[in-house]
Order: sequence, then C-alpha cells, then structure tokens
Amino acid sequence: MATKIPNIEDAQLRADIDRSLRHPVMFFFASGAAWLAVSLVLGIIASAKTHSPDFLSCCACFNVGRTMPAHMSTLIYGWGAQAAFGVIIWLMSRLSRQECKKSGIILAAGHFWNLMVAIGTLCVLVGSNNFMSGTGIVWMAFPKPIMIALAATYFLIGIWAVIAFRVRRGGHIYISQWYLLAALFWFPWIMISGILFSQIYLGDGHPLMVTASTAWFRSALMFLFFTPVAAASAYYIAPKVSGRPVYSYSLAIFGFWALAIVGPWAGMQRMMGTPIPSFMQFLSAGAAVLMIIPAIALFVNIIKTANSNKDAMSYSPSLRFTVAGAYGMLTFTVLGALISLPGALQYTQFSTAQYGLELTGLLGFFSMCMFGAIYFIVPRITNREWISASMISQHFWLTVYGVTFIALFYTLLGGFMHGYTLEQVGEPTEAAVGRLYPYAIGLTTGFVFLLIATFMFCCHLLLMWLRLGRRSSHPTLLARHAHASPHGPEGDLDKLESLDSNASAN
Amino acid sequence: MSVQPIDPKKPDLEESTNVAEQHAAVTRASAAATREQQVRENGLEPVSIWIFIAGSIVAIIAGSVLFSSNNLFGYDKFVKAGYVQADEVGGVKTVPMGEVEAVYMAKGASSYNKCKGCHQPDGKGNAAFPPLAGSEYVIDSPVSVLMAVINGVEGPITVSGKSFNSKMDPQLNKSTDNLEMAALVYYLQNSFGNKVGKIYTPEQMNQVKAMVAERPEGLCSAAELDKFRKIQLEGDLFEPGTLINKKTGEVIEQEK
Repeated sequence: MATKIPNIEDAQLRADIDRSLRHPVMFFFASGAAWLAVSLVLGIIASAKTHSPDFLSCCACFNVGRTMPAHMSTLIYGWGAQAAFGVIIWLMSRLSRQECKKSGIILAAGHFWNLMVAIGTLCVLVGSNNFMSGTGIVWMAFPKPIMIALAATYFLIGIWAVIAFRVRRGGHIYISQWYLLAALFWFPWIMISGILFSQIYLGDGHPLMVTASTAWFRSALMFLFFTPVAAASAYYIAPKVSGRPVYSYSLAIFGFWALAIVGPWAGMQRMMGTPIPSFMQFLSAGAAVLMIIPAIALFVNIIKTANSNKDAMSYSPSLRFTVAGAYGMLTFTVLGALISLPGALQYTQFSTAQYGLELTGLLGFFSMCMFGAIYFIVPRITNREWISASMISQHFWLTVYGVTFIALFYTLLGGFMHGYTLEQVGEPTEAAVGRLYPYAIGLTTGFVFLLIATFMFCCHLLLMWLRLGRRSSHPTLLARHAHASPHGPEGDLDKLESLDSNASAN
Repeated sequence: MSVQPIDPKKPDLEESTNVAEQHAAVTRASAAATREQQVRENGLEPVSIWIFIAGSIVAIIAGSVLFSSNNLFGYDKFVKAGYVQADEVGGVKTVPMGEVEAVYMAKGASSYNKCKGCHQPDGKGNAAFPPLAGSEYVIDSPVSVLMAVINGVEGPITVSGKSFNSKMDPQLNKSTDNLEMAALVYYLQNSFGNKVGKIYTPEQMNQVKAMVAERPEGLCSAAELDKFRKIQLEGDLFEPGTLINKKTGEVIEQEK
C-alpha cells in the first residue's frame, strides 16, 4: 500500500526534472493551444462556407479550398504534434527519472517548428503559385519544403526523449514508456513515408497512388502517433491521480501489441472500389474493425483504474479529462469500424463521415487525453496552481458537448445522410449539399462550443505561463468543498515562505 | 527560497541536518511534485471473460469483412461486382441530353473564353484586333471562320470596312472534337448581334478538316480566307429543337 510519508529525495528529483523541462514543455503547450484556437477559427470559416457560401466572400483566402486544408494542418501540426511533443519529453524524462540537459535545443527546435507551421499556413491561405504553394494533399497541405523541414525538426525534439530512455534509471519499463518509445519511432517513419510517397516519388505521378498513400498516412498518423501518445498519457495519469495500480497490466501490454500489429494495416479502406489490389482495401477495412480491440483494452484499464478511486474522479481535472479521452477512444474506433464496413463505405466513402471521424479522433480522444496531461503537468513545471476551477470545469463541459455533437450528429447521422443522397442516381449533387445543410450548421455550432472552450483554456494557460498562477500547497480541484480534498487544509506558499525566511533570519 | 541541497549519503538523523526544516522547505519549493503519488505498476486483476468475448466478436466481424472480398489477390477483378454506380435506372438508359441550340451555345461560350482577351467579351474587337460582330468572315461561311481559328491568320485584312494588321496563332487543331468545332461556329454566328441560325452537325466538320489537310502548313492570309468564304458545307443541317447527347453530339431518337 501507499506510504503517506513523502520520500523527500524522490520529490526533489521529480521537481528537478520538472524544472529542467519547464521552458520547452510550457512553450509546446501554450503555442499548441494557440494553434488549436486558430485551427478552430479556420474550421468555423470552412464549415460556415458550406451552409452560407457568402460568408466572408470578400477575400479569396477565406475560400473553403484554402481554409479547409489550413484548418486541418494547423490542427495536426500546430496543436496535435506540439501537445504530443510536450507530453512525450516531459513524461519520458519523468518515467526514465532523468533530467533533460538539452532543453535549450528542444526550445529552439520548438520555435522553428512554430515558424514552419506559421509559414506553411500562410502559404496555404495566400495560395501562391510557385514552389511554396500548398500541395492540396489532405493532412499534408503545407508546401513540400515546409513538410521536409518539419520532419527534420522532429529529430531535434524527439532524439532527447530517446536518449532519456536509453540512460533511464530503474529497471522496469512502464507501459507508458512502451507507448512513448513506439510513438517516437513511428512518427518519423510515417512522416518520411508520407512525404516520399505522396510528394516526392509520386508528386507528378498517378493521382490514384498519391490518394492511396495519403489515405494510409492519415490513418497511420492517427493510430500510430496520436493514439500511442494519448494512451501513454492516460496510462500515466489514471494510476497516478487515483493512486491505484493499473487495473490489469497484462491487458495493457496486450493492448500495446494489438495496436502495434493492427494499426499499420488500416487506412486503405478509403480506396474501396479503386483499381488498387483489392486485398489492400479489404485488409484495411478489417484492420479498422480490429482497432476496437486495443481500444477496449485501453478503455477497460483506464476506467477500472480510475473508478477504483471515486473521490479522485470527482475532484481531479486531469483524471476527468483522461476518462473522457478513454470514452473518446472507444467512440472513435467503433465509429471508425462502422463507417469502414464494406457495406457502409458505399455511403461514407465520399461523404462528410470521413472528416467527422478524423475530428472525433483528434478532438474527442487525443485532445482530451492531452488536456488531462496538461492540467497535470503545468502546475508542476510552473510551481503554480491553476487559477480557476470553474474555468477548467467549463472547458471540460463545452469540449465534451462540442465533440459529442460532432461525433454523433455530424459524423454518424450527417455522414450517412450525405452519402445516401450522393448515391441516388439521377439526383443532382446539389441535393446532397442541400441534405447536408442542417449537419453543416451543426458542425459550425460544435466548433463554436469548442472555440469558446479553447479560448478559456488558452487564457488560463497563458496566465500560468506568465507565472500568475496561485501559489498554494493545494491543487485546484473541481470539488466544491475543501474537506473533500486529500491534501489537507490549503496553505499559501508565499506566506509560508516568508515565515520560513523570518525564522531562519532570526 | 532557502532550499539546501540534500546529501543522500547523510542519514536523516545526522545532527547537522534539521530534517523537519528540510522537509518543509522542499515541500514548499515543489509542492506539486511532493504531494503526488507514486505510480504503482503491475496491477494483476484477472481479465474479465467479457473482454475476451467482446474481442472475439470484433475479430469475427473483422474476419468476415476481410473475406467478404471474393477476390483478394485476383488482380483482374479490381472492382467488386455490384459496387459501381450503374448508369441505368429501371432499365432506361440515362444520358445527358439537351436541345441542340442550348447545348451548342453553352459549349461555344466555354470555348470562346480563349478568344475573349483579344476579340473582347462583346465580340466587337478593339483597335488592334478585328471584330467578330458583323464580320463577313464569320457570317458568310463556317469554313472561313474555322480555317482562321484552326490555322491562324497573319497579314493585312479588312473586316467590316476597317483594315487591321495583326497576327493570330492557331487556336484549335485537326484533332479537335467535331462537336466542339460545330458548337463554336454556331456560337460565333449567333452571338454579338450575328443572326445566321444554321446548325451544323459534327459530321459536317470532317469536310473542314479535309480542307485543312489539303492546304500547306502555316498561317492563313486574307486572300486565302476570302477564297474559303465562298465555300459552303454540304449535307443536312440539324433541325432546331433536335435533342442531342451533350457529350457525344449523337442525335437522341425520341419515341413518338
């Protein structure tokens, strides 16, 4: 059982690790959150264009053909990748019990990454027509030089986490480390394959092959980078906050290998009916269904672990977001399997269901786990506590509401309605667009909720970055009554410190 | 902050260390790190049978998805039968069709986008380029206008009583679709105030192509175009209101 006496040397080491990483991690989180807000604004414009085409028609850069790829790229490379990097380097250092000695290099690489994302987004929006023009390839819309620069910058960020693992202290490798290490190696594999196949080898080649390799790229980035990072964070936060062991460690290991074996095969089901070898399409559709198995392993483990400490569930923001992320994982994979069934693909292949599914995965699963991790990590690296519990609570509920709306209403209902109308021979495409109208408004509404939530989150994070958080021995919890806190009565650290220095002066 | 580094080799009860003070100092300096709990690993709860059952159901569905393809490695049958959208509804073949005048005007207007730059959207031309509105080369014969467009024109030329001296490169070629050529002629002869009204068939365009093949390569002169102005195409014209296939130009037989 847990010992209640804190091990002081251990705490000192943890605090030193946190301090060594505070600049890069905080930079990744804060700029990532800002990109998330930018991405949602672009998403609202793109979505609004589908139901109100005259919205912002003054300027070509607001066309859906530009805002849509800019929205997706900022979501993936601006928010997703940066949140993941922050969590990877912090969690890997903590679990390997090693301070980071190269945080300056990581910070510089992080600045360069942001610069590249900013230039790439501007290129896509401006729509220039030279070597710096957007590629128009989904999820890889940035100009080719920018994509290559991003892939190269990754090595400067990721290598230090691999080194921290290599020189780790302590013999046992925790499940989160498995997931993190896998993500660290899978990310460059996916990025380099994606760039090589859809931009360099096949850039001027057959568009079918570009579409096929991009379909794999999207699925692989989701299943083999965002998923393992989110899973690593969930497997850390749930036992850490609840103070209980992972429900079944062998199930966790099984989930990891199931993901590693099944994940790379998915993706090609989007090419159903195209002239590529048909085993690829059906194997991928099968893999998309099989992805439910690692999702069940993660879901059961996280929920069982968190449920073993009901108090922690009610008061900890980190745990609440992580549990929501576990539900998001299950929803994402079940929804993904449903729309990848060969019978359903007839309706979902070209409809909004695919886009809605990507949003469900990125926002409902990955982002939820990242929010959980950020609410846990930031007080440790800034030595300040979150300012307002109600802001965290509102962030949570607005995000959950927005994502649920997008997943169920837009993806499931809208996707099938849209696809069904597209399939009607003799009906003009206009009819399908008309059928999509209420769902497009629904998507905009969902995005607006998410944007409000993200705006609050950004402000909160920015205040923490400016070191304006509460100085307290007591964390910011969601429970309304202080007696529910396991950390005893609240103490003001500044007051305690001044007493302390007075005492030593005397 | 007055945090003294802790020497791990010193036992806690060594006299020079005030243990309570050190603990308090560290606790304050890193409150969050101190209060957090250790991750306890290796939970060994038995995995519920229901998880196995759920996993098996998923695996069976995935397997049936995989083998629902009749032909995993048959590279000849890439497309599963019955998947491709049919172009027949209830046994009636559906083709895109329209009345010939409307189809020709729409196709011709789209081709004319290339000409707008010099001849202007209203077909009136400007100081350097001759007008198409009221031009004898456009109105008199489909041959002269197509020869000009296919071969290009060079040298002094008088159009509607005004003389011009400029150059037009070839805009179409011998392999251009007959339907596109016929539509362009109809568009030019019936726009900008021109009212000729004759609807040439795509087949008649083969006569023009034959004339192009006979003449030597190079741009046309005004004298050559004047010769073509006197030639008319042989064969039957389309009746107004004939239904044609928008893509192929074939006449659609209507059931009476």
